[in-house]
Amino acid sequence: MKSRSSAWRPPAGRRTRPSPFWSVTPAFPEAGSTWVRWGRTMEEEPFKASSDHRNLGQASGHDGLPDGGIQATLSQPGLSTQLSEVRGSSDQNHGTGHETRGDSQQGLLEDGDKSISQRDKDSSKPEDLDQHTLLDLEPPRSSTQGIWLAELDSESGNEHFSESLSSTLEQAGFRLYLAEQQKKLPLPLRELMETEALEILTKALKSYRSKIGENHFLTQELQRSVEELQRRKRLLWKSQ
Amino acid sequence: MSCFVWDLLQDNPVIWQRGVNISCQSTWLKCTEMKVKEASFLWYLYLDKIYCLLSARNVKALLEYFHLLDVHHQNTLNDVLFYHFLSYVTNLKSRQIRMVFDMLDYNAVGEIGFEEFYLLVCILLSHQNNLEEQFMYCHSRHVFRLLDINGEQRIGPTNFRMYRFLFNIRKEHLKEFFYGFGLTDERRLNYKEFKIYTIFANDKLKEKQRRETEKQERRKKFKSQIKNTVYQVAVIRRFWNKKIGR
Repeated sequence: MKSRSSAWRPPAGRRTRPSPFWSVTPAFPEAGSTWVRWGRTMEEEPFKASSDHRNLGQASGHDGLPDGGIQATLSQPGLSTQLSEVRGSSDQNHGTGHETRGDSQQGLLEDGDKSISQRDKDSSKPEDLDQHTLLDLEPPRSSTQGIWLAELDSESGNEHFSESLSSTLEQAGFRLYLAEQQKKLPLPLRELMETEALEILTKALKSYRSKIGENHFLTQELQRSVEELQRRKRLLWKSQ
Repeated sequence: MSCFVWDLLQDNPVIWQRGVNISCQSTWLKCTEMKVKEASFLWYLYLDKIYCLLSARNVKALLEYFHLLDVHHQNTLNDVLFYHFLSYVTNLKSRQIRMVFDMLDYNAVGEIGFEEFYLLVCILLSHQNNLEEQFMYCHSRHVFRLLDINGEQRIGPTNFRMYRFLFNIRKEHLKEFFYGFGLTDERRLNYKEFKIYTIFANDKLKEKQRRETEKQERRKKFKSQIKNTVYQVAVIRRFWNKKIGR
């Protein structure tokens, strides 16, 4: 009962995508509230007391938990807009496999598209043109991305290669950032939690000091935690 | 740490006991309505309206929050930390907070773990969302164990009065329930009877919601009828004026 529960992990086999909750925007309290309120997007309204909740609870069609257990109330309306802001026109529907590979290849693909369009202008028959235009219009598939890469390596040349490499590195850095963010809570929410915990613990520290004194080991433990939270808060403010 | 920190603090030399006599306290238990502090962390959590539980992500966030408060690294909160937490996030009085702690600390070790903390958060959020009846219906076993502070496997109006500020158990519902089943007001309920009471209270809630929605629909219909009538009158008047004008 008293042991830590295991951290939530997404189900195996499912393509991991950054949650809309993991916002890349700066740390504002409103952003933190927006993060947690994504769980309430069924209602599409901020939290209010009284009758609104009952009516909304009846109206929402997403409420329901399998086996009475806990369900991750994911909602994805903001996902495509957030990701599109960061990555440009990324297609969320393509590929079932590895997102990381898809991300790097997506950047290369865009460069590849340019090179392909240039090639289209230079040569090719009408049939090939039709095929190429179809391929350009269609969303690229993860299974063909390896083929695109090979074509790029052989045909694009050094300039395109360096451009693609830099974009790959950027994508790789971004992927690492996202992977780290997926394990952690988003910064705005973390900040809200720490601020609140700091206020609660500061009051508790006063109680401890007044009643059991400053030299008691419990007071010292609490004091260390309070100082740690204050230090983190200062660092966060400095970084902003 | 298996001792009461309050004993160390010597604030209240009386060790909290289960089955405290509340007859002298019943007046202040007719209390101000409990509210969760706006813009606090709990205020932003989302409680599912059918099962009255949090989502996995919310639980994960709540666990992080719990660990921030667990400064002694025991995976528990002692009574002092619990008191300051609850006084920060709600408008409960200190005696009510101690009662809540006593209720949750069912094995009387002076600490509460994450399970009890999570249950408390669900209770607070269901109260905030006016879902107490739904919560009691879904988690009747847990609520029964919490209300049964004496461990007698029976709860009575005394227990209901004691924690009315948390569960909002209405007097009129209780009376109606007892009358409907031919029981006296002082009758104490076992778990099965309490379960039936939760079903009864939940039905009452749904009936009330249904009546409210019907009322709103009737109002809308009435408004639209009035609008139609006014429009028709205006059309007839215009027609009549034109006719006279000729």
